[in-house]
Amino acid sequence: MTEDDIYRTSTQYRLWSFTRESLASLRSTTNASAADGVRAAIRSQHVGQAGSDPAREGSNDKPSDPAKEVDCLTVEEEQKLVGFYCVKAMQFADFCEFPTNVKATAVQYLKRFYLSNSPMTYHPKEMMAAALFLSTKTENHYTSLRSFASKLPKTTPESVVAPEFLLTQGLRFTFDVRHPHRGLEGGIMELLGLAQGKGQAGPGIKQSSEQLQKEMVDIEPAKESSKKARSADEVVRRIQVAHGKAKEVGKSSALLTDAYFLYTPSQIWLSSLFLADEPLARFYINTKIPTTSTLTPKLISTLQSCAELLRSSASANPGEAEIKALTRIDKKLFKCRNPDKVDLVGINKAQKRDSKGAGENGLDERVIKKRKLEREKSEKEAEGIFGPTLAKETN
Amino acid sequence: MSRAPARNGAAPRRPGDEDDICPVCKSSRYLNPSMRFLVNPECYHKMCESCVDRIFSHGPAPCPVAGCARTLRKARFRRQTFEDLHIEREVDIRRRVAGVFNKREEEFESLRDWNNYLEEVENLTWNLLQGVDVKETEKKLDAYKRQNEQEIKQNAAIESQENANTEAQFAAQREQARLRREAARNEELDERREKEEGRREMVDMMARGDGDADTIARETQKVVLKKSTARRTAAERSRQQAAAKVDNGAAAPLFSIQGLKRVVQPAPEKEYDPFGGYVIKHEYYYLRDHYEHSWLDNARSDAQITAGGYDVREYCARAMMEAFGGLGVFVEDEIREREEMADKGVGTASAAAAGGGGGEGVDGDVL
Amino acid sequence: MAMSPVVTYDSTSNIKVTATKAKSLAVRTNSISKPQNGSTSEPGRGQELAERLNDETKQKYVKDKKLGEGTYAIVYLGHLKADPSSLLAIKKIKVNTEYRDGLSMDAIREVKYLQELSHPNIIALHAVFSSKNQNLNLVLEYLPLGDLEMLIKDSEGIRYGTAEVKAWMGMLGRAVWFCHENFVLHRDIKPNNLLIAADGEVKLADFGLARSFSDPYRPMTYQVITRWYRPPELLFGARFYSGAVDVWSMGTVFAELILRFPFVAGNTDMHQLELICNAIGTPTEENWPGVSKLEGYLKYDKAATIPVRGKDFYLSKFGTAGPVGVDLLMSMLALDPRKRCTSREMLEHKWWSSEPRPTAKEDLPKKGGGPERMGEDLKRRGGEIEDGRGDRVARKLNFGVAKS
Repeated sequence: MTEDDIYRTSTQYRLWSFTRESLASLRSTTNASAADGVRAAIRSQHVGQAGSDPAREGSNDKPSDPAKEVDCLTVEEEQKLVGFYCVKAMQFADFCEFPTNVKATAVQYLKRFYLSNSPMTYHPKEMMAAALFLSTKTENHYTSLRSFASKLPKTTPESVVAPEFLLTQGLRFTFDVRHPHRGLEGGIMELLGLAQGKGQAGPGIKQSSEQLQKEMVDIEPAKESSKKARSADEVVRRIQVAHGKAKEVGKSSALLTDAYFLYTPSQIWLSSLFLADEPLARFYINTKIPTTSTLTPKLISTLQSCAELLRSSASANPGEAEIKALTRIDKKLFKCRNPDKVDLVGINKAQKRDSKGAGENGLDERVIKKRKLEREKSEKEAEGIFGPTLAKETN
Repeated sequence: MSRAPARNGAAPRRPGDEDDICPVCKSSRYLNPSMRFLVNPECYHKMCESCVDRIFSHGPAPCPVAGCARTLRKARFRRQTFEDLHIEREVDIRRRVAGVFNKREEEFESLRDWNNYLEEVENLTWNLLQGVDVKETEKKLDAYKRQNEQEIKQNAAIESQENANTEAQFAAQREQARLRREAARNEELDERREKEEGRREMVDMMARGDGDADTIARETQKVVLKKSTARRTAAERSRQQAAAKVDNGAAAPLFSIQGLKRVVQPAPEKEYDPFGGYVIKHEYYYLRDHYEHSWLDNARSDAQITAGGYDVREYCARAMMEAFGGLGVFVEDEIREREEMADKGVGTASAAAAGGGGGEGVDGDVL
Repeated sequence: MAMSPVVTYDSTSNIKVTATKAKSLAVRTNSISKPQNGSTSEPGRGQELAERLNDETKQKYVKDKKLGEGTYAIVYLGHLKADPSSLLAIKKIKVNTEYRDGLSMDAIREVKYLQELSHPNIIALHAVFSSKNQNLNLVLEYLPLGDLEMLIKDSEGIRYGTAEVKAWMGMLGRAVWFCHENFVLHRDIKPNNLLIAADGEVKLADFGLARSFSDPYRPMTYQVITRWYRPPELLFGARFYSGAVDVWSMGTVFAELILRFPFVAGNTDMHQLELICNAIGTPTEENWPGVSKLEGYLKYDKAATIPVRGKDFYLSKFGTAGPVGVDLLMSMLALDPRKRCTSREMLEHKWWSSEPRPTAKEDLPKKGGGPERMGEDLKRRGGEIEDGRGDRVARKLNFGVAKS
């Protein structure tokens, strides 16, 4: 098995990787089905409220049908909203001083959840807290529910936990998210080794460590204005600078874009290195894959498109105009939320209560008992009609 | 066949038996009661022990029987097991051939192949027996022997192990039978004793006059019965256990060396691979033992961390694996292909086939 | 059209694992594709795509009878609706209404790691779905032949030798090595968690305490692994450790397989350390540099210090494994975790290539040996060897056997 094979066994590859087209169509389907759900819920609510007004019965398509007036969110609006709450999640994670992997996993949970669920059904504000809390659990960063809830304004522990099951269902019970951060560290370690003459090229490359070290000094500078590195030490510094930049990208843009769905973590970190210092990245790739291989051009083009995606990411610090647009969307959402799903705490409680009282096939125990009693009663009556049983009569 | 078994031992013979006279020295049993006959597998001529000693003690010499000049050695003389020397010769030849051609039925794919093999071997043997094309046949034998030395040895080992096993099994069964007999005998004695006791008690009770005779009799009967049934069930159970134990014991005594090689036909058996076929081969990097990174230095030196066994190399290995795992995986292409196959509905069939065929290892889950 | 996270089996993934048999009973394709524009979904309650996917998964499986119940979960026998002869275990994890922190860590860990790990010696998770009332249901492969603990304890009914021990240790070693290659610590290895499949293969189960290797400077809990199988560094409260903890557990399982009772069985953590000192040797700065820095370290009286036991001690106790086997055992039970072999080194040891050869899994002892086995044995008449057509054919005279 090669590294690629091992990656292909991950749930991230098997369940959470998409082409651009399928990603888009998935989102639009989710949006459409949620909108229908909202309309249906509002309609039935309205019918219930209207009571027994004979004028309204039997005709669904009267112009006064409130469901038709509901202005549901579009896919783009949903995306913006989810993105905003991802940013909020990141800010909150920083505030709680959670490590990078907790933060990153939480954001990815949100993004994944909203591929098959819509903000109209479940508001991102509630899901965000649940996602972050779930992430502390799955990433082995134990945090007590109480202390977590206390850090969020106006949040009770129940409301943090109430959406959790829905969240795991939306995540299709896959909790593992593979990030590019550790891979970036690995790449940087190798680069540092190469710069100091101790590194080793990948299998298939013939150059020796000394050669590579010399070549590194000769790499084209990152930007036209800087000059080439003149010594191994300067190469080291160059690597460190690139490291810092790439790390930043990894902690923000990589999370906020669809990069995780469209590319693999190793491609993501390499793209972030590409953004930080392209010639360095190219040099590195050439120490891994022989230049004659067909893989290289394909890889480079993939990295370039990923880098583009990262570069065009929404900012982790939304500006005023952004915030204004988001507020407008939020207001719109208020009107088109699915009324059945607003009170998650209540739903949660009801489900759990059902689980306590229900039998295997969902019947209430009381109902079962009642039926049994009825049966016994009818048997007794039958006896009465036909007289007492004959069993004990002796000949 | 003569009714008297041909005994070449020192036991006295009936007078008038043909075997009395040694063909070489013509001495008779009458003169030499403890005369024994030996035979040499070279030419199957028999002679008495004293002749053997006399003629061959100084080294190999030609056979004294008229017309046979074959060189014989003393060491090769042995007692004959069959009355008829022809049979002796045949058995010797067959044993020799079987020692070389000792393939087993399991090694053959079909019954026909097994039978063909047997026929060939029989032809060979027949040639040797009849003295037809002896040289050629011997050559064939030798050639086969040399080619298949390994397998011959293995099969011989298997056979001897089987024999040892059956011996052990018989021994165990005999043991079992003996134990059972003993147990039965003991049981009988116990039963008899208890009956006696029961009867004595009954008489005592009646003598004491504790109650009416009938009830006492019935009570004691019940007690005796209960005891005997209890004993019998206990005996049953222990016998069952013993049977199970001995059975297993005969087949696999505690901590014996087993693991005899079984030849898978026709390919030689594969060596045991402790990794079970999994080989992890890095495509993009060599994992080094030490990576320079100042951030890691403390983790390498702090005793609290290292004494617990924390190994920075594990972290580095993981970082490297994550750095390159998936570098060559082009999501756009692979996922598109996957979706297309699903669309065609080919997905199910191929998945089911792949699932059953066992060619590929993604054994994950499905949702 | 909309292609939800379709789990079609990707035949382009060129995984070159030749020895694996894909045991997945569940059909892999989940062609949930093409949900119509939502207008045909249930009137009124828009069922989100996720719920629909969950229902589809749930429909594929049928629960049969209950197999067992614990405080944590109920296990049912089940089968695929499409294939009634398939055998599955459906583990329903009870919703703990007292546990107010939401999903329990155990459940999360099991699901998380079993989803990612796929290996013939690790129990396979086929699917996960939720039933109403927020219960998690895990569809696992069905392993009917009990666990290794039962085989070890049944000294009356089950006999085994070095070759069998080697086969079992090989399977365990592979399972742990695979976990470590994927940077997962199991942290609860014991014979009880080694389940036996119908074909004799041993599978590692119960990932409730597993977690991935930690990054530098991130502490982990030391309250893991059942006491008898816990390595000394955890008993000393180390918060930074490695895969060596699993290797120690494997070493104790190895010892237990040979002795047929637990090698180091303490009643308390203190007692466990005492027993380790006796059985292996007292940890000191000499044989384990840095051990005194561990928080829970107890300074041992010089007089009471037992030197690390040598090879002869182990040979006398575990002689049946042979000197090569004892060499491996000692390297797995080294006090200093850095001196312990890694799971890969364990599989690279020469014990695997020395005699005897590990028994094939078909020939490994299975549980039972009681009435059913007895019936089989009694069925045969004494002296008769079950043959096939040979019974009706004249027996071939075997000239090779007779020796003069």
